[in-house]
Amino acid sequence: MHEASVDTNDDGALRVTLRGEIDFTNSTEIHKIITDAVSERRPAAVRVDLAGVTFMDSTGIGVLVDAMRVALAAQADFRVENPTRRMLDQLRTTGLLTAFGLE
Amino acid sequence: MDGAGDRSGPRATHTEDVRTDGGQAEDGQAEDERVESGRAPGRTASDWPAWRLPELADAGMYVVDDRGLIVAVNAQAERLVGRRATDLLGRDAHELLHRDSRGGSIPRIRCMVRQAFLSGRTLHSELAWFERGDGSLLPMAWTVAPCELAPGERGALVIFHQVDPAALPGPWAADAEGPMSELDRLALLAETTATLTSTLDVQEILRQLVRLVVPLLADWAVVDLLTEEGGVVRQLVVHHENGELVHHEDLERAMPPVPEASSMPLSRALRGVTGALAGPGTYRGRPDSALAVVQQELFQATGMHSASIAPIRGVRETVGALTLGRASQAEAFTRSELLLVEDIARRAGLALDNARLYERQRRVAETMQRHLLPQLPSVPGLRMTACYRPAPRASQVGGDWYDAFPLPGGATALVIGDVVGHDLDAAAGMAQVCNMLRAYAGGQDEPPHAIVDRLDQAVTRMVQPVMATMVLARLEPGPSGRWTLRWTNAGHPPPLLVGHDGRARYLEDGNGLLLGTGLREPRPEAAVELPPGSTLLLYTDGLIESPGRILDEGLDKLAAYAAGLVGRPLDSLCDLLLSGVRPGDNDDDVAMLVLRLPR
Repeated sequence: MHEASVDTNDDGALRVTLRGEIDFTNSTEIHKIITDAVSERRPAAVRVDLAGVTFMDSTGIGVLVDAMRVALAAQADFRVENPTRRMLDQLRTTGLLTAFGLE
Repeated sequence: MDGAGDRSGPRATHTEDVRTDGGQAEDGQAEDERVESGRAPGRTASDWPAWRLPELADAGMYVVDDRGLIVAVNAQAERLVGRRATDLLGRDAHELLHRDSRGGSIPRIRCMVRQAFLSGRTLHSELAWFERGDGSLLPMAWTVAPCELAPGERGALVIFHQVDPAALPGPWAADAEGPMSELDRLALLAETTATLTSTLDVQEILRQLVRLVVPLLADWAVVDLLTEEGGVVRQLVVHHENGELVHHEDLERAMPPVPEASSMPLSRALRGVTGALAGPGTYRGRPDSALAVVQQELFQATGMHSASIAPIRGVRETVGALTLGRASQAEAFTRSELLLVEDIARRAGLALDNARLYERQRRVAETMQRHLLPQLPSVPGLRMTACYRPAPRASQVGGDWYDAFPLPGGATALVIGDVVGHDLDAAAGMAQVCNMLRAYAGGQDEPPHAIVDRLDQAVTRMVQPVMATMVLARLEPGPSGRWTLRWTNAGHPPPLLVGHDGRARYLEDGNGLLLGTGLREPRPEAAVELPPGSTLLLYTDGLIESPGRILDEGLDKLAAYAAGLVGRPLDSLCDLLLSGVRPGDNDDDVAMLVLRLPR
């Protein structure tokens, strides 16, 4: 199973679902999947679902920030959804809760 | 920043489904025993259905999984090998049972079970030996049938019965020591590739290489490696003695240079030309070089009467040479065996080349980091110590750094930071961020948040933009003589302040976004008066983060441990913290900066 998949919600938002371990071994590939999807589909909003993520290292956080940049550059609203407790801690420490629409 | 544990570890463990189907209710007792006897990591015997193997009058039966671990056994097998099911289940059948006619262990690639796996065919042998529980040998005939234990899960059924070797016609007695078949060769080459490319450690690759070919192909193995400085080192000389691999360190040594024109076998191999057969006679005449003298001595000391010498070639260059020699093994090497040795050496070369490249990259990054990390300034009244530790295993390099330097107004800047990534890019990014910060901070006497704000804008303009977390703190004595710390935190774990009474608290204010997001948000700043005798610890997440625990647990552990160290000398703090707090499963680098205030 792939660590990242994309589909489109009923409301037209691009839904990126991440799974498993997001780290330096797959971050480049995931970054490309998201970038390609945003440039092809031009969604009004991008939602990244972290419910299935078991581990994320710092390059994984980098993937989320890059996704946000790509979304904002395409004038799409950006939000991260369903972070685990662990992920939430990481995003709080890095000061990203507001930017990711989590508070 | 957020810790990268070694993710190459047991990735699969949490996805494994434990099999619970298949009539285990009737077999509760055996089930319990299997759980206890599951000695190998990963799937254990108890995860498979409890097969009922039929009890025939004379046939022992067992089933192995794709790792060769016994997952089922019948009562006759227990009787024949003189071991209880509990001592068999979960064990590696080849390692535990399979022996040659003299009771010696057999290289795994010569094991018929392995060959049945590789070829997918049912194989039969009229004579082989198992070691019984009491150490005696069981001569037996056996059939190995590959099978599927579950869809997509390979295994094999082994059926065996006792035989009398004396009653067999002549040729069978030689079975285990016969010349290598084509299947043997293919199996050996497949195993060579699989084994040698599974590690990036040069010493481990060499160890495995020797294990693969000795005593299967030779009783002596010699590995010469070309060093990066252009020299030659006789890295390994191993002999098979009484069933064991024995190192002959007296023969392991720095070697004379490789002569340009020499046509002697080792010289040619080390120049990457081609492999050759050699014997004591090859080097007997007048030596053409110092290298030839060493070779003369090698043949003398080892008693090798025949050797295959093959180049170990990497992708871009020759890495070294492999010499396999026979002293107690009577047969001389044949041309076709030399070709096999060349093939093995080529595969070893690719593995060694990878490992060397990897080591080189890691060394470059570490050297860079070491040169970049600064000398701490001396500030009257304060004591400081700092350290950087690369990732414990050779898998990653990082972008952690610490820094401390005087500011234009007389205050002192303290910095801890972590550039995202685990490669040379991260280390290079760190070098730039670290120095840009020094430049901005040294330019004007500004508050920390203003300096970091400018740095944040600068990192997004870098040729290779990076993301980083960091704390910049400004430390200065106030009018009362108390020291004030003023800091801004860009997405970094909070500094820890430990009073001289051992009370610890995290400085959690002043928290803003990490650097390099491209977003502009006001950067907060906070200030605190540092009590006399207190200790301030700035650190990176490699000290506390672990894939196996949540952040708070790491922070709690650090605070509790640091509180117990207030009386310890400052110089010992970094080491004590590393050994006491850093999680065992963390494979991230760590930087620390520790400050102690006067009483």
